[in-house]
Amino acid sequence: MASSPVLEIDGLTTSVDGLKILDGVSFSVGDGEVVGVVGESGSGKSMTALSSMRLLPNSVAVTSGRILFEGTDLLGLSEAAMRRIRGDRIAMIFQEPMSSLNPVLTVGEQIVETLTWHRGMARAEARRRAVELLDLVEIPAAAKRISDYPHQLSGGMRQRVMIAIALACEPKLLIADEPTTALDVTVQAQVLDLLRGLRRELAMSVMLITHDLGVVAEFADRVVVLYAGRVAETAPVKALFRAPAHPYTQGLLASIPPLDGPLAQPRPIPGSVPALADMPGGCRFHPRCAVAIDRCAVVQPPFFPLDPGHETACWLAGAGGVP
Amino acid sequence: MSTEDILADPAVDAARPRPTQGYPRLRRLLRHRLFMTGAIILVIVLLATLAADLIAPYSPLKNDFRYRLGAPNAVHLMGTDNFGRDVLSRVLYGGRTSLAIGLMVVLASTFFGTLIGVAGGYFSRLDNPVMRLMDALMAFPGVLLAIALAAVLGPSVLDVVIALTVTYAPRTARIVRAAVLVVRRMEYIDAARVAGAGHLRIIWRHVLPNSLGPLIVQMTFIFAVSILAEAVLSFVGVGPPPPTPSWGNIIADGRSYIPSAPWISLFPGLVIAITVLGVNLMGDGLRDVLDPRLKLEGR
Amino acid sequence: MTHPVLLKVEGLTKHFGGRPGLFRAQRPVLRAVDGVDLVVHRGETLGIVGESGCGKSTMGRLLVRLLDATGGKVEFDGVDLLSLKGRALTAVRRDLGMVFQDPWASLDGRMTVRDIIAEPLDIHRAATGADRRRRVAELLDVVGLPASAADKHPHQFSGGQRQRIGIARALSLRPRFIVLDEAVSALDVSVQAQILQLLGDLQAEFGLTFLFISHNLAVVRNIADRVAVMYLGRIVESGPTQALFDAPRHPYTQALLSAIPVPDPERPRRRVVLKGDVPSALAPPAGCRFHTRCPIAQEICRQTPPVVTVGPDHTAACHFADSPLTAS
Repeated sequence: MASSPVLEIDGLTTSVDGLKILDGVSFSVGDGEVVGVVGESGSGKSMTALSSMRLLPNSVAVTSGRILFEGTDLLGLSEAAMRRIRGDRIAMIFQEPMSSLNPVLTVGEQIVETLTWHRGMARAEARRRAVELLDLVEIPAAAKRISDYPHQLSGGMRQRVMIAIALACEPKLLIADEPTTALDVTVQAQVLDLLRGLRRELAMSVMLITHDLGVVAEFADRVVVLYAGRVAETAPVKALFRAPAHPYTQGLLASIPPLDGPLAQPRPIPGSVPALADMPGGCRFHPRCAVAIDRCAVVQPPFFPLDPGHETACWLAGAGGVP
Repeated sequence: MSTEDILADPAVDAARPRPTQGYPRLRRLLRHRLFMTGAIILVIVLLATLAADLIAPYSPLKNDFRYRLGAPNAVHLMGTDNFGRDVLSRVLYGGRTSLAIGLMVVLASTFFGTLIGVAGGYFSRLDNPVMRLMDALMAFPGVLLAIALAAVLGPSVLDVVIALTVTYAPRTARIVRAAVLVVRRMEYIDAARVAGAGHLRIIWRHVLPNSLGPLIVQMTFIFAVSILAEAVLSFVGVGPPPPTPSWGNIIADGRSYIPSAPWISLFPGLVIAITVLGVNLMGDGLRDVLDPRLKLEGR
Repeated sequence: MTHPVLLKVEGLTKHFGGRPGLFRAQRPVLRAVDGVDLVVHRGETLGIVGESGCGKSTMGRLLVRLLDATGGKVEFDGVDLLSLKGRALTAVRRDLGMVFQDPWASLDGRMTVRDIIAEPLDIHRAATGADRRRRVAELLDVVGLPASAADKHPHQFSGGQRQRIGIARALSLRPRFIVLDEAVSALDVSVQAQILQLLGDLQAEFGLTFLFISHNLAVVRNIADRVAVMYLGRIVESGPTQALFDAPRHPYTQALLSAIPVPDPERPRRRVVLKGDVPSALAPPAGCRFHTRCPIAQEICRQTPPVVTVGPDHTAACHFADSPLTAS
């Protein structure tokens, strides 16, 4: 990992009505690195993304922790200062492009708006740049598409427009929240290819939020596995898939039906993610864990380093490995 | 970045109180301060009118020309009118007429409005013809339509009810239709159809119970508005006919004496205002509890 | 497949729109399902895969008579399903079940779990009183929920548990044929595997026949005996699951398979990336419907709809299905 991370989340804790949604989440995104944040519903992965953009709904409060972006704590910034960073230095793309684009503005105007606001560009220049950006995201006939309204575009094209808007100011960090989940597989493949290429071309750091381990395997350099608002495991992508250390990660990988090779029955994790109101004590995964020991129900496990960059919050890893 | 995305976040969603069913709602309603204030006001007004025979100091119809246009005093708490009738007694008895009209309009417009709304919302074939007719009725300003209808039908309590029902049923129909359109697309409706359920069963078991929230809120609104409309109809002379008192015709009778004896119109007016306020408070409370989406914005 | 045929579909078609109404203008015709032929054998699981808008969901709804077909023929156990009306249709519905995608929207939140599961029983007056209670308890047990669940409301359950309730409802009349429309798509992977396991167990126990509709090919591979791939309202390839996944013959199937992100970062990718989006079903392309995105399309593909070929069990609607393709 690079020496100074672009984004460093440190002990982030958020709560709604006194219930902790995120509980001490820490990880970093290095320069030019793609970090996949994986988890099932209720894991807090979207919450992590929204916290980093300071876009949390009013009902959610950050109770402790820091979010350092290039050394500055975003949580300490004024709303005005944050607005200058948002969409400029840090950009975000969402799952559903239709509800993230303004239906009454042409896609061109929406890109131009970003450029004039953040970069103070003249409209004509911004417009030229908008065409370039649409070109960059491989929208055919960009010069013509620029005067289309969002509803005139297909889902895949809308997601490309979203990406173009996000990239307009060449952000240092792109937060992609389930960027391909709403798309069909063949279109998803196109968009993933595009993101992969752009990330190399623009040397961006990416925080990729997804529930799809396949997408992570294809795109991420490093993976953060979240479970019930806590980090379960952090690992370089190859290590995570080759030697998952946390029983939850192992269970997650075993529950995916394979696309080829021998037909192995996927092995589900018993039970379901606990509700926020009745989180178990100790390790939050212990009620569903096949190898839990007595201590797991009582004491929250700390992080045990396994290899460089690979650590997991599991007592068994500390005791010499998970069986 | 729309709020929709943020609200769609599963973590936020998990923390949000789910729209709960059955008794939890009732409990929340009973704890709702505004709703309970409104309910208490309405219960007091209701009990007072129902017990008019017991608590009214005089007959509402008895003339006493010795005390014409008497100001409020210890004997006549709200004063007397131009025939020397006790205004308090008239207001108590008049409440029966006014509240009865409100209640009947609520029942009738809810019945017809629901029937029409369900027909339009559930059977897409009927939707256009039926709802265009409702649009036509709603093209007239509400009270004007009621005045015109009441003028044609003649002055009687029943005619007032009919006029107000024709005026307000289309509004109910529209609200019910909108709710039904949402419910109709739910997969549980499909599930019932796959199992072989007929339209009546689906409407009765699934569509109506799930459309009830907005309908109940609408009922409180119509109750309040009908009480006001009765006063307007009386004011222009097409309300419930004298000598039977109603809040509306007491105000109307007093209007010539406003400079000299303002209490004749003032007290029934105040009672109407308090009653309508109470009903509206109940309506707001019901909406908070029954419509979780609107509630979120408030907190 | 030696099992007898339970369901035989010929030329099934569903067009939406087109008919103008009193206050409604003429709308263009959307060809959601446009001439589908398929066969489902007793006791098997037929997987239907395809991207959004390919008509797979519409087809499922046609087969349980949730929608009325525009044309074609469906023979269910020797009965002409599409011509049934009134009482005869209600009677045949006992044999048809459906499980839906959305574990929230598919259960009426105002009803208790008991009333939800017993609704089909009530409709067909199949069980009342103590018998009804016993049946609900049995069904809950079958889908792995405690009997105490019966008196709760759906919102008290997680997504996976709600899906179990939906499955119990679908099973209540002991149907022979169940359409599962994206039945596990809304669930988290760890829970998804639980439901897949349950479905497998139920099929073995009750000899059920499944039509399993999904956009997720990995899931379909895991549960289906045979698979049919749909594109723009038509089936482009169908065959035994293993044959279809190991040696896909239609270029669309090949692209679809290669497009799925595989949870293994160390595996080399051979990806057939398709150009563009699926054309609109309002104006499907002439000839082979896939030719606008096909990496190997020739002149003939633009003009002539391909005839279905390949082996006895394996069909592919492609002019070049017989020539070994190297699309990458």
